[in-house]
Amino acid sequence: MSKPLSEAEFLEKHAELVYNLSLRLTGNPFDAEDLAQDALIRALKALAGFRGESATATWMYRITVNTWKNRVRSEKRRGFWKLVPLQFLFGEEAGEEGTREPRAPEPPLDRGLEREETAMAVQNALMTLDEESRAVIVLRETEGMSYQDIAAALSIPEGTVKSRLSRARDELKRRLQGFEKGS
Amino acid sequence: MNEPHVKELLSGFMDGALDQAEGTRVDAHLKLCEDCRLELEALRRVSKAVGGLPKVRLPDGFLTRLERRRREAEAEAYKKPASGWLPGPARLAAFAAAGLLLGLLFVRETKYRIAARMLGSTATIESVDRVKRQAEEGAARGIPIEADAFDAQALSGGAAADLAAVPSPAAPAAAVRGAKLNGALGAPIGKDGKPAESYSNEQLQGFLQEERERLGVAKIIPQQQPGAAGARDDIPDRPLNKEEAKAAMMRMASEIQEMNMVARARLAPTVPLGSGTTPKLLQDPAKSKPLVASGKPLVAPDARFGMIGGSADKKGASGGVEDSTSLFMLRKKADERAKRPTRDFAFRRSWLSTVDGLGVMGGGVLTSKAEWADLWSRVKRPEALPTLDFDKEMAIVVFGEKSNSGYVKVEIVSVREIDDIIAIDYQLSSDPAKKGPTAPYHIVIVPRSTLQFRFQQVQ
Repeated sequence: MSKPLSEAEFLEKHAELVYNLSLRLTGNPFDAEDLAQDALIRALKALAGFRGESATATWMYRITVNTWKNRVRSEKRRGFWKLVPLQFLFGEEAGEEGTREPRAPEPPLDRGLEREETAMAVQNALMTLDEESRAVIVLRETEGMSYQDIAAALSIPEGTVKSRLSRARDELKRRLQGFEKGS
Repeated sequence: MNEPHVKELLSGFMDGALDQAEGTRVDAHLKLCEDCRLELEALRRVSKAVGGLPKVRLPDGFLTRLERRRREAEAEAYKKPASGWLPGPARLAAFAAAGLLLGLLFVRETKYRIAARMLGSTATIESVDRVKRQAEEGAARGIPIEADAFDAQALSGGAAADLAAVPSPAAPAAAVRGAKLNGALGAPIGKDGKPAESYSNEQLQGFLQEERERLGVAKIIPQQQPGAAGARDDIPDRPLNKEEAKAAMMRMASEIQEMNMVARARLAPTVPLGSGTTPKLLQDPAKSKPLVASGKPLVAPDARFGMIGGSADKKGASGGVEDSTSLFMLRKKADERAKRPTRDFAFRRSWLSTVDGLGVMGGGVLTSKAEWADLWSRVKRPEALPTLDFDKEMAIVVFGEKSNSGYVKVEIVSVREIDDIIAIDYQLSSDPAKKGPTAPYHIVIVPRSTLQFRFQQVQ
């Protein structure tokens, strides 16, 4: 085990990672910040006791996902309604992206813009998955984690990771079909 | 092509997560089956698309906000013990016993050693029982059992380390106390149910820490260096008896309560929203009628969709997501939108007020009774909670920023279904003739929809 990280080093190394994961799980920057901060506060509290049995990143993913799952659970239980900050026009393109009809081909205005549209479509498609499937596919595809690490992070068997991942990819493929054809 | 397809194995195949037999089978099948090859390609594209989601930088000020939130979380921790202060005799007893433990924290390291002995009590169960019996007999005869028997002589000097092993006048009292602590706090017990043999200072401190946390007093006693300046004058520098401990804890508790109140007031100053003004009911629910019934889109193609307030803090949080809302794109979208058929939702009811909103820019769609009741209580409506049928209706609310001097009104101008989104258009308007403070909101009831919604400001 290497020397334990100081808080500053820890944040330097992991804050952005946690924020990105949160963004993919919650689908919007406001909930993402909330979640990332909650998870980091928890992690910082436990940092002194962290013995480094697993890689710090895996440990951090686990905390983030658990914090997120708890939140989703309690929000569901409380019939929580969310105040959506109006500055963030989430789902601006949701309607268009969700359609199956290919859109009229148009010359790309700007490559960056196109990438953003794709990102938005993918994120919207992710949001249609149930929470556990979303977590599995995000950890696998965006964080490149192994089945074993995902299983550890989510406290589910490896076999379940495999089947959830397969189903999630299938579902995403279905959701993104229209978009792919149109772009 | 009679072989069964292998589509359900393709995801695992892609990740190299199949066992050898499965892998070979999929390999062989793919050579023959175009369908499955296409499927695999599609899955690879999906994987690439998700993996290709852009990495986003931390929003500006993230770490500052994190630090602030941490401090708030700590302040929360302060609040807890204060609110549940000494609710019952059992807890009081436990607390007083904890007082004994905590009192020990102030004494010198040599005394920790004694405390270790006391807690783990190298005295055997039998000797504890014997001492307890003696104590009970003593009590029956009116002789108080005082921990003071645990005299200063025993505390000072190395002889104390072997306190329990060497018979001394102090030993029985120590044993009594050890027994009490064991009973009250579940002090660590050895394997066979007997008290553990001895404790290192680290173990003891760990145990004390756990107990403090269990009792919710983790923050109550400031960690003080033994013998350091600032040690409390009102607490004697020796283990306390029950009464003394109780008194000391009570004193400290009230001090902490006071500190908490000050800290709380500093962290979350309470400013009454819109005090002195009464919410104005735009339309009596009974007489309510639709505000918008027009069939034509309210937004002209060249309308400017601004971010709220223009200068609104974009937070930069979505990195690369928000940028797609460039003016050009918005115009283009508005053009497209104008061409599409829309369906206006008539407002079944509407409540508009310029005070008592949340005071932050935001909107929400409420689809359950619990959410609705929550909103209703937050905006402090004077009327009883209106009954809504959430199978058929839903509530939409938009809040405007709190303004202390100006008069700002927020109004939902239309709720429309465009393709498969609900577009909620709202307007902010100010009136220089009128004065604030305002914290506006507008609530409307529209037919229920399960579509995704989007808020946008219109001029």
